[in-house]
Amino acid sequence: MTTHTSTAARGGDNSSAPARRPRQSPHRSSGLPDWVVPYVLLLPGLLVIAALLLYPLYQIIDMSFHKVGLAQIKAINPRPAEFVGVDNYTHIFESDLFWPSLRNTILFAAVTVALTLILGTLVGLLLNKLGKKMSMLVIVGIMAAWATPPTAQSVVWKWIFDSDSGVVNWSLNLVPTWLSELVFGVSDWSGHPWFNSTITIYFVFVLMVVWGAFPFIAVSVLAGLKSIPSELYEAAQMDGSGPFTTFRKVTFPLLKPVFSVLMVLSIIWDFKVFTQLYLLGGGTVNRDAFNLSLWSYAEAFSNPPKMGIGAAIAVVLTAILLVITFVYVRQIVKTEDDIR
Amino acid sequence: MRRTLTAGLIVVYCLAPFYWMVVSSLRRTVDIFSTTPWPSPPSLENYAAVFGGHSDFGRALLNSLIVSGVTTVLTLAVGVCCAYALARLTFRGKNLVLALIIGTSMFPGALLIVPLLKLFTELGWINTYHAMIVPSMSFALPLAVWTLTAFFRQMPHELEQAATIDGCTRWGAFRRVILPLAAPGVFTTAILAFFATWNEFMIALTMISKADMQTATIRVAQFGGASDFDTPFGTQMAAGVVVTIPLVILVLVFQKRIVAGLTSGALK
Repeated sequence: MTTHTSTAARGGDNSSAPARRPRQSPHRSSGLPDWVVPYVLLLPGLLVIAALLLYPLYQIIDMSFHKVGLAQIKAINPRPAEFVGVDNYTHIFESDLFWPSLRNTILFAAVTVALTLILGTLVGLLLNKLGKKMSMLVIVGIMAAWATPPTAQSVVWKWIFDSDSGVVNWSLNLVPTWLSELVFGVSDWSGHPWFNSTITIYFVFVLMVVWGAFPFIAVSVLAGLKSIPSELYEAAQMDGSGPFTTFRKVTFPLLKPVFSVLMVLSIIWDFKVFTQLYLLGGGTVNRDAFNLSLWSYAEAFSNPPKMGIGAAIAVVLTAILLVITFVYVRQIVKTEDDIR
Repeated sequence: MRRTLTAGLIVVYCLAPFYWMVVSSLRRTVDIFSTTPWPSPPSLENYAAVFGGHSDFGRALLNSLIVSGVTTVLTLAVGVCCAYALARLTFRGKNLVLALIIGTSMFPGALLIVPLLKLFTELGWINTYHAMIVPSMSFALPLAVWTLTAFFRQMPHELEQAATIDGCTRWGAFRRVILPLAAPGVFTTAILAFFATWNEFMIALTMISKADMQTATIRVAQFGGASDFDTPFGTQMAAGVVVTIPLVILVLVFQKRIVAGLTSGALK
């Protein structure tokens, strides 16, 4: 219920009295007329966005139609770039790296977002059921994972899954041979490589990103659950509703705003992952494991650099992201309108 | 009982890698391949290697601190103004601005680095702090606006009314009444922006080639190098612990505020 009242309260301040109030004393105090204030306040932010996002966007689209190498970006009298039309785009669409990279990008985001949200919600529900001390203890434990910077994450997981001396292979060797062979089809794990094939790189990658991301979801869901009055649950219980029905009929609808924020945040975070893949895959060596970000980086900073092709890949990735974001941006902006 | 067990399993999943990082960092170099659950005998050898000799990790930490600190301050100055206008004022084109800011938070880093590298090469900015600070604002600013807008919305709008009646202009109300009251929200946003910048990797990797300008996150990854045959795991783990511990402490202390800051639009 809290969520509903809050939405109403939010709407209240958007269009209500103060803004339309007749100006009382435009000459007093700072001397700025009221109608200019919002634009003055927004100006620095819009300038930053224009300089840091719109200018690069224009530049990269321009570059994606040119052949850009070292000679074109050096500091002292750079040579003009040769216009190549859509050559860069034909090159990437015909490249045998295109479909695997696209598949890796989308599958990774879909699997990771889903797993993060599901695990996070389940842990949030669990935390709500635990005693105060116990839940505090668990929160401290899981938030430590969330706070670990991506570089440190990658370094640690790479070490854990190291083929010769990683603790994972060591532990798997403790499993009785017959069982290990039955379940995994591998009897000896010593030297088993995790970072050679795309599947196992992504297995570790997903495990690691979910590890670092779900604690935040869990704690947010917990905060949401705390705001639901317990009478609702008592009523649901009286009506004989089981835990699953209660979640679907009571918890989920009430926490829908929380879930949609968490989903947007997760999608934004997971689609753009670069650091962890770059470090787990050992830089740009393993081409099969590329996602679009890493492929773009690899082309732009290869030897010799093919910045035009890197730019074209970045444009394709941005286009995909914008289509996905568009739906969300429209939804968010629409909710603003509804509130009003 | 079953609940406690599940909770235990989850904590193990979360803490095990973390624990292993700490334990490995405390082993002697000769014991690094040992799999005992605690270091025996414990040693600070790896930490000495991180800070001593020619690796100069202290300088990298200082670089990280400067880049993150300056980015945070700049982002907040710009973000507070934007968020206030978006949350509490009515004006034409608001939806457009809102859509633009949310949309930009989706732009991938890959889009930025090539054009910015070209621009900064022309400007002679390569290997400087501002080559990291300025691009970092591109992701810190949307995050800050997102958090602060939600925060400003929660404040009762009678505040400005009262201020206006007392003879303040809109501008005066913002400066003298709203801003001081918003301090806790601004603080949460500062932590989040600091975090995001501290963790940044791609920009620092591209814009910096000189070792003494590298940030700590880059240095952690480059102990031994990505393709080096013999990775000095112990040193890497010690460096990992050093960059992680300050963040873990910050998160544990301000955990409630961080969650509220990121989701408050939807909660309370």
